[in-house]
Amino acid sequence: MLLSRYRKRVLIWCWRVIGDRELALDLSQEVLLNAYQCLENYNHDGRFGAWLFTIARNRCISELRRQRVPIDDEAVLELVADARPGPDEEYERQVTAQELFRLIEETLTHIEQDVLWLRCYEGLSVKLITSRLGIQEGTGARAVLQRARRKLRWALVKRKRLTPGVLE
Amino acid sequence: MTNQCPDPLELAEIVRLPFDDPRRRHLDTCPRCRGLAKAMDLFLEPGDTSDLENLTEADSELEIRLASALPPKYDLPSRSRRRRSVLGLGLAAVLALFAVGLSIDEFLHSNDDAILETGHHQRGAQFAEGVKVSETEGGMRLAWPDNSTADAVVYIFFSHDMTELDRRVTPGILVLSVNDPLLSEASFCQALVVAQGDTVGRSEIFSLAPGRE
Repeated sequence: MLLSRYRKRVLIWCWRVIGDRELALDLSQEVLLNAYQCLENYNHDGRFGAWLFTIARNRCISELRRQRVPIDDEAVLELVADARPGPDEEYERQVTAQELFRLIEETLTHIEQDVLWLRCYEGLSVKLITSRLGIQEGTGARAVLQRARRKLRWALVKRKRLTPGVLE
Repeated sequence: MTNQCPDPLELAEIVRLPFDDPRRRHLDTCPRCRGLAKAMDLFLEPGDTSDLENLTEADSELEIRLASALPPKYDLPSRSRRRRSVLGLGLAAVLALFAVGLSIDEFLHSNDDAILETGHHQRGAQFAEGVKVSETEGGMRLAWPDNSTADAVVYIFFSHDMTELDRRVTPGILVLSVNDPLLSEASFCQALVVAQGDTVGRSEIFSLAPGRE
């Protein structure tokens, strides 16, 4: 049965994102039961794994938000803002999601973008990202994240100077 | 998300396309789609899971939870078989009790040392073959003697009318403390041995509570 084949994958994903065994078990159970209830709507187009991934991912993100863990654009902004004086909210007001993505795309290398995504949008641990992406730097994905932060911070400052209307 | 971004459900296929395919090339320029594709890849191919302690045990627990939660019509593959065998074994155990004319009370009273070495005790073996049951200070200790091949041992507890009360997943040994409600509520127990996510062995259903059968 499809659900049995993917059961362990769902558990691993939830556990890695949430970081707590018991909560991961609860979420996995919920995800798989939800998937089961929606199976009739699944169109059997061979993308079951991707379909189940989106359910698991969305559920984990909801849980992280419930725990008030920054995720998505907010997490990127926090990553940039926490090393700079001034209230974080200022950045949230200043930068829209589209602008942020354009800035990320223009400013960061592929590996920096990937690390930023897996950390801030998927909630994965720095250690796991380091091993999964095969990062060889001394402090792994953490160093890449710090570099990405510096670059984004400067990019934000430059953009603010060039187009004050957009970011103020 | 831009107009060019594909449906996330298509990402797993797109990453396998040749690099010069237009849809594949989109991943090189879109941080969102590439990040999502990498995350999906990590979901589908989790790789080394040594960062997750006792994963197999947790997976077995999840399997059991799902088997309990899903309606029988759509059971996980092993559940219907498990239920049939649990009921069958339960019935067999009860019939055996009456057929032999042996009361568990009498059986327990015949054990002065308060230890039911079930694998070795001649009379206890028919109730609890495979599981070693011993009394602790007011409580009870259940142990699967050979867990060399097991990832986990699941103890299933039943009431006097064979209603399932609870399941406990352990590496092999379970101690029920004196305050554990199962001690007063459960009458029978069965152990399932789990390895690599599959049930590879099971004990007979055996009695826990003297005089409640």
